[in-house]
Amino acid sequence: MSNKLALLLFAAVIVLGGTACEHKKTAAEFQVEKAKGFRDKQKIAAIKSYNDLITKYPDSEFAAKAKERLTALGPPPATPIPVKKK
Amino acid sequence: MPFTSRFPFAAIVCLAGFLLTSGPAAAQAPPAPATLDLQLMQKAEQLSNEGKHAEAAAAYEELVTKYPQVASVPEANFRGGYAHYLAGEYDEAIAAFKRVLDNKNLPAELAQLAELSLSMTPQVLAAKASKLPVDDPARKVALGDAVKQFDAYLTKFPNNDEAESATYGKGLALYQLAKYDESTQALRGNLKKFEKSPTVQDSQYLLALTLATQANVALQNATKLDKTADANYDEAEKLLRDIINKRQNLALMNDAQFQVGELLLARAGFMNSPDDKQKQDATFTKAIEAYRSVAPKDLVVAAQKNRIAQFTDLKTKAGIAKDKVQFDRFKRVVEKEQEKLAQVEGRTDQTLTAKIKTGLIYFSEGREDETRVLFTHLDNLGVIEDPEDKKQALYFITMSYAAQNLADKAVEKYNAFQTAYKADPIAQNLQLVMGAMYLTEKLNDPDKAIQYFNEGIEIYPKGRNYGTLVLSRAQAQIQLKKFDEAEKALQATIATKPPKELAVDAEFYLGTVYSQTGKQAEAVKTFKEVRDKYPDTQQAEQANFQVGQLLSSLDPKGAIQELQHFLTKYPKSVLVPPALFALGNAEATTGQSDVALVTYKKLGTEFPKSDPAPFSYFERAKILAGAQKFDECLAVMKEFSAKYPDSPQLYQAYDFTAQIQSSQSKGAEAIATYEEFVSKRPKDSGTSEALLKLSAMWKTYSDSQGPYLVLDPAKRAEWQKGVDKSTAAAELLITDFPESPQVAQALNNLLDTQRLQQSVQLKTAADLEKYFQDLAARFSDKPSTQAKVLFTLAAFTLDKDKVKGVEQMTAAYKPDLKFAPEDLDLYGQALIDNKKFDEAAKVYEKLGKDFPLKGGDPKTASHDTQEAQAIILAGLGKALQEKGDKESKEKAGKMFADLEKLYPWSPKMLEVNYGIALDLHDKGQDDEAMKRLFEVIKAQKASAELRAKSMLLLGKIHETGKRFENAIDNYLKISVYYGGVPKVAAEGLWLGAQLLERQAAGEIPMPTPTPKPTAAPKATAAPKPAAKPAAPAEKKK
Repeated sequence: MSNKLALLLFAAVIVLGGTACEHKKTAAEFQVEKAKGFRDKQKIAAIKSYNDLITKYPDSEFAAKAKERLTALGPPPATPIPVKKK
Repeated sequence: MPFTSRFPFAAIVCLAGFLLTSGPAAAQAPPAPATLDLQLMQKAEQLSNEGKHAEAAAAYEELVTKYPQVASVPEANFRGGYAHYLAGEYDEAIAAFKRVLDNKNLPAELAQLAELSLSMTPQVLAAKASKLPVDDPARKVALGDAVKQFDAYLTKFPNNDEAESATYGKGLALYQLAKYDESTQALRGNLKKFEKSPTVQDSQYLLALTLATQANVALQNATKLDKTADANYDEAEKLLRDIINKRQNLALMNDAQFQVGELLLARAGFMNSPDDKQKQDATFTKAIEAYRSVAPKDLVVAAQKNRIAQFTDLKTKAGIAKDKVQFDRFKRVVEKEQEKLAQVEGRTDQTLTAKIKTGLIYFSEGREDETRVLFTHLDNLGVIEDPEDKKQALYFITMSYAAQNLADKAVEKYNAFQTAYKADPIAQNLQLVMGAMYLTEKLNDPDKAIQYFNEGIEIYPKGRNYGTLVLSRAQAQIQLKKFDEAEKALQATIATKPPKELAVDAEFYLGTVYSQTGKQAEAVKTFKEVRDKYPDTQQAEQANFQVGQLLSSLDPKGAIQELQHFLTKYPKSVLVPPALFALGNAEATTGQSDVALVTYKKLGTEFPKSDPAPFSYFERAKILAGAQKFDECLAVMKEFSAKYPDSPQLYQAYDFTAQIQSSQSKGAEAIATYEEFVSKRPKDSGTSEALLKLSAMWKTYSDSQGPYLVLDPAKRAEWQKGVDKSTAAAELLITDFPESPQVAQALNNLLDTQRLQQSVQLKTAADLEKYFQDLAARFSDKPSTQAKVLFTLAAFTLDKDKVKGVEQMTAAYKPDLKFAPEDLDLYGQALIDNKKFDEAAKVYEKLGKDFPLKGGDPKTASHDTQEAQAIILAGLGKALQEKGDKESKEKAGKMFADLEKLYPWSPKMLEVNYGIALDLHDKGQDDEAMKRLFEVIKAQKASAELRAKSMLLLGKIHETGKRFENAIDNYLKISVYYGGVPKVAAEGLWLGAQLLERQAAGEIPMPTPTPKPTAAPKATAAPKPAAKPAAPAEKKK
């Protein structure tokens, strides 16, 4: 059952991905997407840095603040799955 | 030995005997009325008995003049001569005795008068000589005549009872004429001929003194080893000890005991070579033993009286037995011994002189405390009566204080000496020693030194230390940067056209002043003048060498010529080794490495014991290392270690070897080299440095295994081995060298290894704290070491808990202890971090008291003091800067500027650059600030913390300049590069994450991509830029 579900999900991703690729983006769309990607990337980096701080320097005066920021930031954004080149 | 008149009493005895026996008939006849001549004779005799010798002599002379025809004239001449002698009228005495000797018609029964006159004549001449000054030519004439007259007597009466005494007198006169060989010959004759005589030990004693004097004189003039002198000393000591061992005559025995001390003291004084040090110490010890065995005066007097009583008894017994020969013999002995008794009673107690001599030995051996205690004790007892001894005591007390740099006491005693004995020749070196005391690092008061040197120059303008005083004054003037004064003083001396021996000194010292003040060309010129103007002097030899040595920096090719000339002209000079060393240097400088290697090797082989010889090995090693001949280089260092196992440079040899091994990536061999040194020389001053290196290398060994968490068990064991060995080396360093400057760094290493173990969860923070607490407890008897350990613990605590960290440091800090400047700096920094700026300032001010600047010029202070001063300027500057108000910041800026100007070499300069960068950033001068920060970041000597802080500041500057990518890069990489600086690394991560978050929130726009530069053509690939490990963000620009 679980194998079947995974196969379906994978197929959906392929289909959706293929559909998206077929649409040619405008420069503005491209810019927005790029900015979003950048912000997501920076958010992930910020979360990683706060985590580093808490792990490596738990006694630091910044550790407590870092924990607060992590709570505020919430979970990291989903990382896009890279497309395998044929 | 003082001249001893040996005949008079015997002569009178004989004379009395003669007079009594010459007129038995008259003695039995009824008394006849005295004739006028007889009345005059009786009057003269009466005056003589009353001790009025001059008047008695005049009465005898009157009789001879008024009644030349009477039978008593020969007797009157003899008695008159003797009275003149006693009155000190030596020429008149000799004339009177001559009249007896010239009398061709002397009746047979008066022949003894002629013999007595003949024996008296040389004694009178010797007595006359003894009253003349040593440099009076008449003295030499009188002594020469005395020798002739002794010979005349001995030729005429070779077997007479008085022959022994006459030979002794002749030996003494020859000794006084410095004709030692003839003197010893005469005295040896006595020892052989009168072996059984009760007075022969007098000759033995004089022979010992003559041999010892002969040895002293020979060694004073010796230019090489003199075996004859040693043989003479040995024989003299043997003769004296024989007198002591036979115990026949306590007075003489005591003199011999004293003279053994004198002989050994003199002999030790000639053992100047460093190789003879042990021998000299042993000889001094034997001399002290001899002096200590000298008996006190009371005992000697009692023994001498006892000796007289014994001979008096023998004389009486001979009289009862009517043995006239023995009676007369013992009478003569009694008279001689009575004379000796008078001498002993009249002179100072010899034990006192012996103690003074012992003090002299203490001083010669550098035992200043004992010298002073002895002389002060004698002085306090009031037993020093002789003015000369009193003077010596005060002189040595003063010298001992000055030699120990105890200024207050030295000055007090110096003033007392000057009040009582100003300009006394004994104290010619006193001003020199006083001045030198003020030039020591402890007192460092060149002005005071100059005052004493000036006094010495003024008091002893022709003294033997004049040249040294002028030069010492010049050195003090140089220290005060009064170069002109030094130069002028020497030139003024030269202008007065002093005698040659002073002129040569003054010119030589002028050359030295030029040399020391960097006027090398003038120095060369002046030394050349000395060399050419005074060719036969010792200074010419030295000047010749100096020319070569000075030219080795000015004109190495010229230096080679000069030095080769010097070596040819003075092949036996003591300066040959330094000349060879300078020649090697000049050859190496001119690129003749192979020739230089030969020269250095010659120096090491032919003069292995010379001062520069050990250094020649290092020069060879340097040349070979430069030529990449590492195996040969290591062989030279090995040769050095084998040849100089006790050299103070041994550590340098091992260090050099280990460094070469490290440079060849032979870390294990380098570690083995340091470990060998530590095991061979566990107490060497270099061992602390070796242990520090071992501690660091073993830690590197651990690091080289890779990250602990991914290591397999075998590698983990190696990792742990490195940590344990590093810890053990650092602990051994702290235990065995608790006062060494390496302790602070060793404690840092310990903290690093403990932290390393904590980071991989092999230890907890509590374990770490316990470790340092236990370590501190091991030094409960060494408060300063304990404080340093606790300081380290405090540094660890500080990272987690600022308040507790400072509390621990405050508890460990004791203002009365002298801490290493680095440790106090740590405390000061912690106080600054905790914003306790005033307390921090106090800590730095205390450091200023521990390492004061004297003499006004910081650059003339010792290196340690300069380093401490640099720390003070950096620390106070930082405290003021962090205080934050405008006035404090301005003061801080000035302090940083001072530090940069005065101590640009100081490691604190890096901190100052950071401080200045902070200030510049505040003022908006970020470009300048960044330049300073890059200097710090790329400096390998900068601490990790300082580099981390600089990166953080660089990040802040980028952030201010809105170069956010660069700012983030700097912030985040701090934890990558300097993870061991948790406080800064955590702040970097925080600030980086904050910027990233703002970017994620869109508060900071996405960066515009920078166009990439066109790739360079492959054929002309651009050279790789120098690595900039500390400015990674800049690469993105």
